[in-house]
Amino acid sequence: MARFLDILVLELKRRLRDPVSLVTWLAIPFFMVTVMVLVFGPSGSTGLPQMKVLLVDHDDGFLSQALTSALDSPQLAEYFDVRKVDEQTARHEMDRGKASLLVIIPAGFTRGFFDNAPLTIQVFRNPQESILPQIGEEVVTFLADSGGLLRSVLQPLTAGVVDLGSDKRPTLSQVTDLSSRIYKLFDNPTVRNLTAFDRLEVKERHPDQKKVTRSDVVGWFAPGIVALALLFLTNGQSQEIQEDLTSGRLVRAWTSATPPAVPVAAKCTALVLSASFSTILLVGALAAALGWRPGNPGLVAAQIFATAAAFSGLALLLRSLTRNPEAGGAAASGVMVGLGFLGGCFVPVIFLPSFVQTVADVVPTGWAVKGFLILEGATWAGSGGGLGWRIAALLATAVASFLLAARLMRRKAEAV
Amino acid sequence: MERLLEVSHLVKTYAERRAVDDLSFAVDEGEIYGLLGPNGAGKTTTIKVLTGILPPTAGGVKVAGYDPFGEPLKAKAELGWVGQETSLYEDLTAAENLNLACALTRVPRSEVRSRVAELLEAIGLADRARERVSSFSGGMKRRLHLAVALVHRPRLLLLDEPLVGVDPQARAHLIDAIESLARDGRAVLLTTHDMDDAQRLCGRVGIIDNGKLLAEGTVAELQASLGERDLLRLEGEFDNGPAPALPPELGAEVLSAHPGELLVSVDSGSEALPRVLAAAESGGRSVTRVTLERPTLETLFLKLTGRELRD
Repeated sequence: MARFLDILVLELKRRLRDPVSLVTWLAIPFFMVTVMVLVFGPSGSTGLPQMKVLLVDHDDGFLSQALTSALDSPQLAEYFDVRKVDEQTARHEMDRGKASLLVIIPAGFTRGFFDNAPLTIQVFRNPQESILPQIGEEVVTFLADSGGLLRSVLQPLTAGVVDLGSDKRPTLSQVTDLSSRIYKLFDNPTVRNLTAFDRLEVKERHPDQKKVTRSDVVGWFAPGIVALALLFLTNGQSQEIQEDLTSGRLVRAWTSATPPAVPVAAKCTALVLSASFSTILLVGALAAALGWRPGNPGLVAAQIFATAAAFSGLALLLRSLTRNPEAGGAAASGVMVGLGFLGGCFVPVIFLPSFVQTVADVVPTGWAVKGFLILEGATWAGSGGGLGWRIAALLATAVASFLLAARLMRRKAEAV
Repeated sequence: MERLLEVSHLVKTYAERRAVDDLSFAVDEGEIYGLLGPNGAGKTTTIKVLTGILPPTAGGVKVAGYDPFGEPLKAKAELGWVGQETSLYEDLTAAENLNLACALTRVPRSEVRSRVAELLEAIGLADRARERVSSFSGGMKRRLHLAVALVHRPRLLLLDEPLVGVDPQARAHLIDAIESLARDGRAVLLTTHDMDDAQRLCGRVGIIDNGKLLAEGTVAELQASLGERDLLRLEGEFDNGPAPALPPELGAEVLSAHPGELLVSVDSGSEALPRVLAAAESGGRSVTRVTLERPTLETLFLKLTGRELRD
């Protein structure tokens, strides 16, 4: 054990003294934080970028105006900049990428609502954007679903006034009857809640989260950023071990009277510790700059360590399959970018196709990202179990990868 | 005198190729043994087997009585290896490189400080102990590289082409160091493709080519195997045709005939030269330069393989 510690200390010294490595350690996390601050604004600012929505209202009825009001409500106005335009202008502006979302409410929408007819709201997304239009579509879908629910509640009560939209003038008794029904209808607390659009929440499906806030969005992306930083760091720093092999330094260690596993374990531990340390810096910077709250510090540290270990093992395994550090770097980068995408490092998995969401549960990057999400208490992270098995799976990946990598490197040493 | 290295009928094959082919030799304490051969002869492969990095296909190896594959830690504790490239940690200081080597070779902690200081003094780097290796010259790195292999005081040293690419000053320093190690009772096995290094340093030499040991003995014994004969090296405008017919009474032997060069072994160079020259120039050949040489290990290698060491 004393030998192991001696070697480990010298390995850590090496990493601290390598200026490129040191700059990489510090620069990558802070670069990522800077990018996030540029995207989301610094802590305390209003945060989320506002989404430009074009609304074409061919109906101009009570319900279409209600939908417009909902999008324009104080709660959603922080996120949506809604502008009513004619269809030609709307399509022209969408073609020029001037808006994230185009919503077209067809003529006869209000009438069809009371007639219980099938209704369609057309939503066009800006293909050049990915996340904001997706969020917008989700909101509109939710409002439409709420409308459908509202209709099913209203239908029995409005059955007698379905000809309200016809040309025939209603009689005084009909108007009185209708007023009475509407009064009774809105006197019902359930209906009152449903029609109070300013109470609608984007995240209604998760009752414990009342509203999408800036910190929610930071929470969506921060775990992926942390996992991505670890992918970069471990890939870059594993190069030193591959260079130790190709330059003969590791071979020399293997000709000494120390069990071959000791120097390899010391080098791998130095790699994991340095990557973990760097990631803790990143998490601290994210917390300070963006107000991210990653959760219980002890568990976060455990998750960081397990992730760093798994990614280091994978990076080293990929490098042990290649001939030289340049080829190793290219191979590891390619595979890790793919794993990063599948695990939700670049885009939260909820915005990805369902098969990717399934894959995310079986790849180390997915375990890493979801582990951080669980720690920060993001209920939208979905099902799939808890933190414990993910940390265990990451550690198992680390052990298996390191063992296999060491074996492959040992075989490669014969050719050095 | 203890036998510190014993190689018997060693074979190492890669797919169809026999890199080492039934190689046997031994090195005793206080002896410098040279494995002399061209690049690709199997010298480095042999060293890798001796260090326990590369398992042999057949045959056996004993390092101070231990099998590097049966009792690896005991065998490795007895040997120090210096590879062709200086495998030092450039971002660590000279002292730290030696400390790391001490950790790897299980030098008792209480002795590390004195051992490192002693070695730094011996290689003339005591005043630069705290400087990073990346700032060292090639010669300084070579000296430190040798010191790293010595921290645990091994009884057997395996030096793989230790003098390649070394400047004259560092070369002289390394040669002194190697001779000093042998005087201290250590056994040294060095590989080289340089005949001068082998003649200068080695008590015994094994000539190796294509993985086979072609000849073995002291430098004097090997030179004597060529007889007290002279060598005539003729250079000129020769083609690829057959070697010229030399008068039989000269007892001359054509060792090699290449375009532009002919190497002939004769009893007496000065007596045979006019007739060898006449024979060489017959048939339209033109000799532009003649050299009279004494036989060397390179001559022996040439005689054994028909090729020069540098080929």
